[in-house]
Amino acid sequence: MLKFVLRRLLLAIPVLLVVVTISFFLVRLAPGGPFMEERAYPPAVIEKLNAKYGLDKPLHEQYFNYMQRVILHLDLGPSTRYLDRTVGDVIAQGLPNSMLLGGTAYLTALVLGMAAGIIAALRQNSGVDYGAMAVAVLGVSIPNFVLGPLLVIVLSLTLYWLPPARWGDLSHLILPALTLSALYTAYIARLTRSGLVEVLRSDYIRTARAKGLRESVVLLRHALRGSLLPVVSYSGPALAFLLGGTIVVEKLFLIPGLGNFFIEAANARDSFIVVGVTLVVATLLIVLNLVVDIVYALIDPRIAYK
Amino acid sequence: MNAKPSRFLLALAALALAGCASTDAGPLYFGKLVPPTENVLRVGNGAEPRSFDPHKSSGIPESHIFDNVHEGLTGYDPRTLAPRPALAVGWSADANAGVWTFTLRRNGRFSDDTPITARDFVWSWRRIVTPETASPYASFLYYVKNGQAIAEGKLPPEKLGVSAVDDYTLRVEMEKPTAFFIKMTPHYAFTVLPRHTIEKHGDLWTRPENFVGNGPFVIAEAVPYSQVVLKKNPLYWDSGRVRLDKVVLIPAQEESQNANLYRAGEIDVVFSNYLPAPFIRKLRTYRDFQGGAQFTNYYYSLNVKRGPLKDVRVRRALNLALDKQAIAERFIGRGEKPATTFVPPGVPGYLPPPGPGYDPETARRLLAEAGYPGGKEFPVLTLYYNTQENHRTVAQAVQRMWKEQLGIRINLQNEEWQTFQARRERRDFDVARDSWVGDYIDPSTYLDLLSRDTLQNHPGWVDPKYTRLMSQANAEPDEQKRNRLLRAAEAYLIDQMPVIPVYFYALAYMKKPWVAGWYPNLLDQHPFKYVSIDRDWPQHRLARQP
Repeated sequence: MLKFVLRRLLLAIPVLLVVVTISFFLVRLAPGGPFMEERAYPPAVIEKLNAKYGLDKPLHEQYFNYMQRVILHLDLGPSTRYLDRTVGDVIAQGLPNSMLLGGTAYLTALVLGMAAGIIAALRQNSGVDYGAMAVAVLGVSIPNFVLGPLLVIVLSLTLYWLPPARWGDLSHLILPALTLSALYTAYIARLTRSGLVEVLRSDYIRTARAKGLRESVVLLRHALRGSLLPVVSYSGPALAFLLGGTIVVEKLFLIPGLGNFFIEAANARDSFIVVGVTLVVATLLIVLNLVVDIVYALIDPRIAYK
Repeated sequence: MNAKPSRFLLALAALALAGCASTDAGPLYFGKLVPPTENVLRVGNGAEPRSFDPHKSSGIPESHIFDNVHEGLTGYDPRTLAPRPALAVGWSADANAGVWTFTLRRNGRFSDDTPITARDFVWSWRRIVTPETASPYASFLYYVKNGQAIAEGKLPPEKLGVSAVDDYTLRVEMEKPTAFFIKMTPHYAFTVLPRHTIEKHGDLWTRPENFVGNGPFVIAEAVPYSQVVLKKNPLYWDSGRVRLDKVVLIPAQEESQNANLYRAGEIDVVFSNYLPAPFIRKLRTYRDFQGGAQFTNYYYSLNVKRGPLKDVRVRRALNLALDKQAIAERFIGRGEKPATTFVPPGVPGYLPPPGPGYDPETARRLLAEAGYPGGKEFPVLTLYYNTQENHRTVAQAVQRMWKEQLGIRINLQNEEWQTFQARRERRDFDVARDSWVGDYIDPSTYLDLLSRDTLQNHPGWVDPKYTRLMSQANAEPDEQKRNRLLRAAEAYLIDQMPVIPVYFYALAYMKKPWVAGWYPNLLDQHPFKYVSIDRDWPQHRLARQP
């Protein structure tokens, strides 16, 4: 197991190098530049600015300087879009908010998805089942940039129950978390339902019932456990994805997360933020995927890593 | 038996009164109407600020912060935008406006209680022109002696034509006589900054924990993509007039977000141009919608160095073939006014020259004279615009009008903002969408765009006659004579047509009825110093109704 983890961590290094290199050059190749303003700077000023950020050097030299700074000093550099912040500041400010939103959406998806799946499986082929699964199909098929505004129109602008955007307290978290979780809730509901339906037909459940166990015990102790594996294998990568910031939902609800910084930095050609945020999110994805693999092994003894 | 229905009716009447914001025709106001309980103003501010240093940003959202936490020699009148005494209590210019002298107030202080003297102004103005500062507004100081040479690194900052005669007298020597200089002074480029704080904290002086300003408010909190909170500055010399305790600026960049937050009662006012364009017609029907003239134009830059556009007859023909009334009113329709001249209307004392109207017949004749009768042999030009619904609508209308009236074909090409700006600066276009927001209320803020070969001169049109007219006008101390010279310059510009004016923007913003002291004006500038929360607004509102 330890060997497996070490190997995965070593493999991550070339992956991250490739990610950084590609994003570094992509952002530099885009037309325009970080100091392109509607009120154009005089050429003398552009020269000073380029020199200040080391952007006056040849591209390969800039690349090596950047890599040196990142690897040796763990410094992601300054920001050209936010003048009194560094990339480190931006990540420190944005990442916790993105993670809070992603984590909440993840928990929402797990709780709502599993509850809906269980109810549907227990009332198989009933109106409740069809209703829950119809909602799940909708959840999978409506993109979040449609669902978000729909929720805003109903809950914020018609009923005035929840704020339509911004960040600060619990009420600000509900709509974005619901929007973000819809797809995952729907998927988890379907996975739970199909897993549970299959397990409930199996022999050991019949045995458990024959022993006279209470239905709740049959369900919670025996059936659910066996049906959860597909949910776990789906929800692991989902968590990694959700925690890394989701640009659309952050933009829709004005959430001070990484997504908002990232998109604005890309528009303003702030290569330091674009590459820095990409690097952090890629690292997060790799680490979380590794954690998920380890959790598999712990849950299912049939899985062993060598 | 009788009592019941009447009581019911009474209750209904009370309900109707309580909700006096609604009538049979629908609500009078847009969205929720719950006034704040404290003296706090919540504002939709368009975007996340790039910097809190007034020397390092030229953005409009930033200007709403700078104008309220810093103060220079003069400040804006909230209605007319005329310069009002701020740190300067008086000023005078010599006979030809070549030297200006300002007398400073003795009770001016920074928010950390450090007194403000003329030397602080000297230091601040030198800082903005120093190339290392890289200020987008350094060009404002080009009017001051040696400003441009310093900004271009040819002279040291100490050579700037500004000096402290004594602690409370500031002397400004101009590069050339500049009669309109006083109109520029409310701009934050001319503000005074705390040297001691900037030297101590460097680039981090603008963080709320380090911040020192001298305006009616100070920066208390700045959470990116969440809010900037301004707090009343108790040491401000005129703090008795300031009635708001706090201003919360929310960087809602999406237009729909501003409208949603406003409707849900989360913000009290949205600055102009931050509302979704397609809804303006509908929003206009509410009482809290505010409109008016705006000092912003919309035009097309013609690349005068390329193909048929070198010929002035072609440029005139393209202009005459556009039905701008239809573009402004039918295609856009948010209150815009068709433009036949370059400078937006509303500058006191300035009468714009007459501009040519819609005249397709003359347009066809001019095009034929230029060698393209009926548009034959006319090369296919490309019109570039930055990706936005509104710009596409206008470009399509223009494409059709030129096709129908002149028989010429053009391609339309939209581009992402940065890509588009880069293209415009290197003049790699035939026709490019353009627009300018005036910086101060004077025609020169527009006409100077084309008086020299700068990066802002997108058409690449440099004409010695125009340059001469502009220098004469800017040096003329007599207001009336100067306005006549500017008028002659604009008439010549319109005659040569390196730019096709399309329309003038209109103000379009929403303001809850309890926000007092916020007036529509040409620059959409609203010093928070004069703004207050009017708790008795229903009574005041009713009293004002006819």
